Amino acid sequence: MTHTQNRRQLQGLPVRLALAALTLAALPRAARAADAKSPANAAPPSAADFARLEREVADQRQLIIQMLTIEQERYNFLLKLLQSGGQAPQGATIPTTPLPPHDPLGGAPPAAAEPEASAVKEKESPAVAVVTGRVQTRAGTLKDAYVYLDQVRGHSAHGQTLEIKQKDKQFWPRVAVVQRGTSVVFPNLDAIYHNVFSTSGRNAFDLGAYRAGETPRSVVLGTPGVVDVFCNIHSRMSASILVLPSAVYAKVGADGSFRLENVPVGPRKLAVWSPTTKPAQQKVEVTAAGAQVSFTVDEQAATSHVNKLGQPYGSYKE
Amino acid sequence: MRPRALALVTLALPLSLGWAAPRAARAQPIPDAPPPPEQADEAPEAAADPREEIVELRQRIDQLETRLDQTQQIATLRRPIVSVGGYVDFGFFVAGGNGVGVIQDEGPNRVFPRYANQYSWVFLGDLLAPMVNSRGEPASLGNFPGVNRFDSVDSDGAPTFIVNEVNLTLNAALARNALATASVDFMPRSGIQEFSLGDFMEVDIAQLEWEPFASGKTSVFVGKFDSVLGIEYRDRKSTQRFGVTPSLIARYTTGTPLGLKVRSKLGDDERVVVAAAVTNGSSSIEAFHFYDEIDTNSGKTVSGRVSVRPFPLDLQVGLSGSWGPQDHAIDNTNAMWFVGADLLAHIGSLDIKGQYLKGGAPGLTAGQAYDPRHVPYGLALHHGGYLELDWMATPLVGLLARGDVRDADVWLGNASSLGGGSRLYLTRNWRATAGVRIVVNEHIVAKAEYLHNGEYDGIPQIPDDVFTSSLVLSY
Repeated sequence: MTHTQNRRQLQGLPVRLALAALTLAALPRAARAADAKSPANAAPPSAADFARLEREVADQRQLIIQMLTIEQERYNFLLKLLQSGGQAPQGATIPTTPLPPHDPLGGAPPAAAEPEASAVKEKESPAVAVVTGRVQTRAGTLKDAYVYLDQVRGHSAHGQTLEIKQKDKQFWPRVAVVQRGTSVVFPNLDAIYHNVFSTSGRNAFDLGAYRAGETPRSVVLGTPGVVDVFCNIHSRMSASILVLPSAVYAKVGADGSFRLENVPVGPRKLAVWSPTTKPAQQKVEVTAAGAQVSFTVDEQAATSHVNKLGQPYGSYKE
Repeated sequence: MRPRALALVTLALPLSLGWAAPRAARAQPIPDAPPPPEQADEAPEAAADPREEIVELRQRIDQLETRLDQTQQIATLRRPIVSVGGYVDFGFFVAGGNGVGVIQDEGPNRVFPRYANQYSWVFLGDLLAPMVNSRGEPASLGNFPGVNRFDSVDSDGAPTFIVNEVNLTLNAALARNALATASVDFMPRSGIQEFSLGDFMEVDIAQLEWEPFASGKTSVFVGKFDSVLGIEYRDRKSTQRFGVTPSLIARYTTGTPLGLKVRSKLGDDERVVVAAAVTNGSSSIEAFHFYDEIDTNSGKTVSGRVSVRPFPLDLQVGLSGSWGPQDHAIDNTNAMWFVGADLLAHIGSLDIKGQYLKGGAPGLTAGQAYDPRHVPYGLALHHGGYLELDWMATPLVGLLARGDVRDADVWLGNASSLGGGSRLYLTRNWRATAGVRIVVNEHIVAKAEYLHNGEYDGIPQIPDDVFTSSLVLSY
């Protein structure tokens, strides 16, 4: 081989190097070892060369896994960002620990997070504070009231479940707050039939009739808003569920006080909800030290409801 | 050496590149990753702001949600305003004796000879005691001469299958707060004997219920509607009734009069319920002696009920009554009245129902003309009532126990007039009922009852016990 030939061969080297790298990354170790011992390699590398190569291959495999994981987590982060309306979702940070718990390629355990990535995490993590305050009514007493962070988008609460029992021709509890995506299950403990349904917008559902001993039926409430739940057989059975986009809510105490945790720092809007009062909202500037806010709500007269066919229940039959 | 050197270079270079690459990657803050600024400028599409994509996606979501809302509104508007329901009540019964609840008091061995010169016919017992279904129809009214009657079942005591009732109910939401209801019963019966009229139908309910206030706690009824007397009207239909048969006083309280009714539930927990009605005549059932579909007098019957649920018990106690011209009377001279008390309690799966009733009507009095087409019966309901326990032992099986009493005199004509009265029914009756209820599913319910009818206060025992059953198929 001449010097010119050597130069031409070196010019085609990047392609060959890339091919070799891909081969190394893809082929099992045993195959590569067999290849190294093949007659085509007239002078096989030494044991030290193999040891070094194995380390390098392991590093490269780890890198591939790392990059795949990072891409997956970036995708997840963007999804959460989308769901939170452009705001960094609470508790969600740009991925910093790249490796999954299980290495699909059977590689070495994941390396520790890089210092740069940790810095990113600290930078992106939203600051939260506690908002306290009081809710009072103009007349009467307040019960089953909740304060929540309004106008915020959060992620769906997959896997969370709330149980609302049907007992003695009533729902227990009659008022509840859940995060979007929560599954609400309605066991019937009465010996008689009940038919749970709601006609509340996108959360409308009809679970049909069933009684004690039958498998409780459930519904996933996926859209924020108030869900009025009734029985199609017993008109006096009713429950109200407030579906929220995030888990930032708190129940108002019997004395009207509340403590709302994990409120992101900044200008926020808080709201108070109760089935027996008119809704109320208030803007508040939440600082790192927290904030205090007071609500005064008006009573709301109860209204009648129709059955699942959109008809009045008709004569008193209970 | 050349091949060996080439092989080493071939292996080493990509590895060294690969080794360098992760370091470069790890040096970048993630995900503000690889491309250097100048490359980003040259390829703006690749470096598009994800927030723009988010905005676009959000807009698409909003559009989809708007379309979903529109679709739901269209579906709601297309929903038919009329819903159709009803049921078939199929039964089998066996009645004791000849299935008749009365015996004639006649001949030299009269039990009550003092009535011999006052009434042409004297009957002892209760015509409606051997009930076989939720309509309260007796197994038979007998074959006594000279008495007009509508013997709708007329089994003469033979065990028989029977379609007790086929019901068709239409509900129409004329507005969010206005519901029109029509309930019609069809009764297939034999029509070959003198007093059996064959198949017949009955308009059971024909009403408009209007809720004038947003609270829905007040309802105004116009048309042919449920009674306001007592509580038994609530489960008078076989789909609502726990057992098969009604009580002995249901004949006075579960009819459906025509007129105007208002009912209001007061308080946050609706612990007080007030109802009042102005109707054509009383709330007696249509096949009984006392009932006016179309009034024959200018006066109207007023009735009302007040009930309270004392906190914190799941117990309702009510008082009710009615007053108005006698049914079938052609003038307003004499009044027919009822007054009673009721109780309804729920303890878990146990329902306790009780009711007490008194009532009266003088019938024809001295000097009143006797019009054979419109003759008011006289009534002295000394007392009547029942106590019923309904217990769903399991979601599948329920048990019923009920005790009844009815102490009443019913007569036709004026005993003190020159010709005397036409007929007299003397009732001193008690009844014990045991029943079972099997709920197959929400549409299929099977029920069975045994009714033991007894007499007291000198009236001979009448063999008119009844075993009856009912298969209710609702739709």
